[in-house]
Amino acid sequence: MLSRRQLLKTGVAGAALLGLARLAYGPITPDSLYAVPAKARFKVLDAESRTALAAIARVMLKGALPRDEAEYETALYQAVLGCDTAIAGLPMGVQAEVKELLALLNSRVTRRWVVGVGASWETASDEDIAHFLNRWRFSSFLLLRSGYQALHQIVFAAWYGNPQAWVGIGYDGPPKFMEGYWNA
Amino acid sequence: MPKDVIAEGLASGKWDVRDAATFMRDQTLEADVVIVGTGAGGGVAAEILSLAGLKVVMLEEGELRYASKHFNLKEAEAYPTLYQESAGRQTKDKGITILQGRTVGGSTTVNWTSSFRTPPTTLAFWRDHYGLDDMTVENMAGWFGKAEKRLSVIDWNVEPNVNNQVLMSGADRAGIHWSKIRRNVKACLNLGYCGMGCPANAKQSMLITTVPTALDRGATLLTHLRAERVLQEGGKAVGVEGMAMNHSGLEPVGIKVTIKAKTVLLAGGAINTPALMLRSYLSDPHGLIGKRTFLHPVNVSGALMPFKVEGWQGAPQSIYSDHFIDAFPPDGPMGYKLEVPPLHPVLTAITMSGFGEKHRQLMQHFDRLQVVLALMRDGFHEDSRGGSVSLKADGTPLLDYPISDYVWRGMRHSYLTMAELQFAAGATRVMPIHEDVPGGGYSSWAEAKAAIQSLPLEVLRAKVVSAHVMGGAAMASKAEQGVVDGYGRFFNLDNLYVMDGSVFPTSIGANPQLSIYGLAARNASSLAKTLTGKDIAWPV
Repeated sequence: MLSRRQLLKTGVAGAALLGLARLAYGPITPDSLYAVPAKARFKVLDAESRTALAAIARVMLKGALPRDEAEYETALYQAVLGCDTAIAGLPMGVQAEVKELLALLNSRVTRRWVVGVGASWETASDEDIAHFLNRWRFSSFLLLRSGYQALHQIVFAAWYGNPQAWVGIGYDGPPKFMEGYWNA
Repeated sequence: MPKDVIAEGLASGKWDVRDAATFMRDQTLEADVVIVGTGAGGGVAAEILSLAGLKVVMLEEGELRYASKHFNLKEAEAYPTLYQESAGRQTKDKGITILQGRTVGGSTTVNWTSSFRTPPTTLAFWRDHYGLDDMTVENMAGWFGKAEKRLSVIDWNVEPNVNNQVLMSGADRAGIHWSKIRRNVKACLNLGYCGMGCPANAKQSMLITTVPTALDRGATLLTHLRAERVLQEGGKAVGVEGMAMNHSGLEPVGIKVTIKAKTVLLAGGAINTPALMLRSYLSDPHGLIGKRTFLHPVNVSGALMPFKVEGWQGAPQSIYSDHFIDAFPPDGPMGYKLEVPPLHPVLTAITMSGFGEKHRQLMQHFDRLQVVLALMRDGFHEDSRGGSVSLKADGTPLLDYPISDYVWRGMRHSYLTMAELQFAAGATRVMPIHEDVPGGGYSSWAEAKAAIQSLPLEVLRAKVVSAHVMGGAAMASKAEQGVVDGYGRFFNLDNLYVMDGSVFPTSIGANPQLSIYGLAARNASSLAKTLTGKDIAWPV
């Protein structure tokens, strides 16, 4: 179980989630504050994978995530939730491959020796994470390159699939007039 | 109020549409013809065979989305619901990502409406190398003409969107010839969201044309049903066994659906049709099933323009260039076709290389981003033999498509061409989509030219995508060379036919939908005559 501090730091919590938990479950003990609603909302990602993906998304989406601290936490949470949705929509065989990739990120031994991030995902610096991403991106091993590309695809699809992410890219979303088209 | 043919058909109570995801127990149906797949091939065949008075059962792994309300133009919903593998189907080494439809209407429901007849060079190649002697331009013209009439393939006289205009003006200035793309649309609103399903029923996809006609004529449509294997008995195909999928289409729910039929017609599209044939352990003495699968592998070049492009608006594809198809003979260097894609946030963001601030800087200029594609005409040269479909442990298909040096050379050539014409059209930066290209790309044609010459060309560095899947059950006059004959008859089992893009012995060298429509119309008409003795007037 992750501590509250860790969750906030990695963005897997947030005010919205807190509110939801209270609404759904009433007063609850601090330890289960996050785990319960998270379990209810995430389809495939476990707490460890959420933490790793939040750290990776934080670096991949640098510049795209809002600067305001409260908005930042919510947005990062949304990004991780979006990753969960994206992965859950893949065929079961591909989901299994993604889970293998996540296991590689999560295991302490492989995180250190294959991923090359010594610190835990909660404490790894942006530089460490960017270094890992670039090492995989330009690796001579096809498998590591495909791992990087998978993370790139999942994180950016999760982020830019969310209408809230369209702010600042000059895109207003699908034409509004179509909403009334069939009732015209 | 506009007419929604699907909503009205369902409301009429006359259509027999069954969602296998809701089935509670195993079932068996009977038909004259069972058709696997409702895309370009299956849709046309279903209409013609129903018109002939045959009882048709159509099987579709995807779901039936109404043409109207359910197409909400959101990528996050469209990709998981309307495409194979969430629009992320990949080759074995993950080097190529493939866009292929999985919904009623197949890829025709989500394609960008580009309509080309099979090029004469392609037909000539098939005659010369595969013995398909009667596939002359003259003989096929009638079928393409009928398909164009049925599906409203028209000259698109609306001004091209800026993304296409850049291709046009850049080509002019670089001395490359170009033409206009014809489109299968009626009363098109020029929205630019074709890839998410047409929200105005303008695109004349199988979803709103042939499938409804077949249903009007008494055909049955089963959705959320994955065809598992072809049933064989005494040297004949006698039906298809399918598995009901859950609502998300991801997992079988453990319910078996058997369709007994006198004739079995496979039209699940390349990759899926050969995989179904492999799962069925069909006789394959020459080891040809799944072989020579083609993709028109595509490489991509982005550019920042000093003006607004807004590539999400307007008909996605209205201009193309065959300059380097025409300049290079099939036995010469790799020929390629130039087109542009529509630009929407998800597809753009996952295509652009890099991450962090550099990626964001590019996305901040999303409205000025222009993108050109080069589609490699694979399968004509002996150094371009395509890929090979096999089965994963769970029975789903896996395409191994190694990119040969010959194909890579074509991609390097096209990176150069695309950069040259993008700069000629006024681009301030050009970025071939490749991990080794610096964020922000190159600032001059001279710089780009020098850098592209030395880009390392390998998978998962160069971005390679595909939206056209062809081959794997090739037609030929002789069984040593093909899986089916020129009329789609399988060589090694009676009553089994293939009518989809998998019958093409090479790639088409153009967006394939009209090639599939024309050939399926010809072959389904021939089959209708064989089964009923009648000549079917088509289109009605």
